[in-house]
Amino acid sequence: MSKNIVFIVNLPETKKQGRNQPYQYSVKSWKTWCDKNDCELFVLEERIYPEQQMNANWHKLFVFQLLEASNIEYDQILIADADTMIHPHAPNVFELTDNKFCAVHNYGSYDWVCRSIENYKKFLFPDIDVPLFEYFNSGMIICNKTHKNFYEKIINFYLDNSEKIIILQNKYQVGTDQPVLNFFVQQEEIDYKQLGYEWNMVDMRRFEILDEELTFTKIGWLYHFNGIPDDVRNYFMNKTWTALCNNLAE
Amino acid sequence: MKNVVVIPAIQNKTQDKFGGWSWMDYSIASWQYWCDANNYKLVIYDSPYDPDITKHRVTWQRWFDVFNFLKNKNIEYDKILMTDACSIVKWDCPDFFKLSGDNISATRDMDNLGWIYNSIQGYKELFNNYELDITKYINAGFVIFNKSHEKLFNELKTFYYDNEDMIINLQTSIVRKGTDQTPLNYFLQKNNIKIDTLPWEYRVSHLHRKDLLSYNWQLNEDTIPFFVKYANVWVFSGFDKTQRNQLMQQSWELIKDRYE
Repeated sequence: MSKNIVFIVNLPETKKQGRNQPYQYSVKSWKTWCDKNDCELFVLEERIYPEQQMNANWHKLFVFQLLEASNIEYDQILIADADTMIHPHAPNVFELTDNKFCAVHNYGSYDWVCRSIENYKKFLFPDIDVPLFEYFNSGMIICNKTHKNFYEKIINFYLDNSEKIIILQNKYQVGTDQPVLNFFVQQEEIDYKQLGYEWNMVDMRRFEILDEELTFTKIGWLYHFNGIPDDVRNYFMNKTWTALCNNLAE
Repeated sequence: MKNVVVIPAIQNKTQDKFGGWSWMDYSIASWQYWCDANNYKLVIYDSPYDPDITKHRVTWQRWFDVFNFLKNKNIEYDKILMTDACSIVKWDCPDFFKLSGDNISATRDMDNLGWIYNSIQGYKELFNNYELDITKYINAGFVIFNKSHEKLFNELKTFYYDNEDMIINLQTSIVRKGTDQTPLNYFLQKNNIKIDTLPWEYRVSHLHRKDLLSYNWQLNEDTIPFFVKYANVWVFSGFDKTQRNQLMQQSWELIKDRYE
């Protein structure tokens, strides 16, 4: 019987040793939530391509191939970054999708977002426009079987243009898979539903909710520990896991 | 009948926390241009019912007064936009009235979620510990409504004056996070008032927090700030208020030719 799947890419870091250390809390939180919501967690822990050819984020695009190669039946798929955690009592987000491609707008630093849109448009997608307010963060995406071809197109695009994309990534530092996914959603006219911030709470320090009281856990469901130094991420993911475990026991 | 844009623009001579008041002029000039271009009427709300605006803030009184204020001036209207005097509307902002129906329309506020969360907690007891849904929290600085909401705002007025001592104490001494906005949110949610959410490009505030004051310094082909390029209504809030005049003046200098 097919289930909804949560897919996380948690690859060993080769550039910044220990960067992925707190990702264990991400996997644990998602496992807890999946068990409560009759979903299956699938974690990719081995590289498909070497890091110099494809960084970890791009590996998320292989979800359909990996599930099918593993003979896993699936319905909808939630693709989460390994620096996210979900509250154990979060509602079943798969019920909010209307069976569409879903993501959350990338709130936060619009200097970064605008440069991302403008730079990728100039060098890779001159004929495609991405409206700023539709630009999503790729750290939490929900898709389904109907998006398999869409993902294959993006993989092929990457493989055909990887040299140029890697240069862009390194030169401008405005994202990896995220800008390309956004341009592809517009280019392919994907029916995209925007979920609320509570379903991908990026850049929490900027919004003054990443604090010792873990205010963010009282505001929404899915916490994205980005836009912060590695040691701060490590500290808060550890602290959050402890708090969420206690919350689960209540 | 025309839609109207109402801007409360009253200078409290006893308060100088804003570093002067001339910033209101930029706001009014932009809204006058936009209203003329769209055949709407701009109304400056400049004489509140209660002259003690230090005690009874203009931000509160605007909701109680607006219907009588328009009536006394013989202004016919269909929909009302209540917006802040620290906002500048982009010269070619699309007609947002067309996005609003019969419900109240507003934008979701999540600029400083920590502030909002603490404000909600601070006013909770006033509303009998009602559990306010923060995901539906709106900003009071850009709200569209119509005649059908007159009764609702009269009830808000009754609530305010029935609880004025407590509200003023919370506002000025205990919570110190905003004036009307959080109580308004409680009032609307408690009364199950349907709110239609407008796209947030119609009220983009905390420009510095969101790094919207910069431009694409990497391509360096266009020095127009991001907020001018991408947003429709710019709200100069969320920073030290003494800087408001300077920032609004600088912005106005940059784009004023578009309003001629």
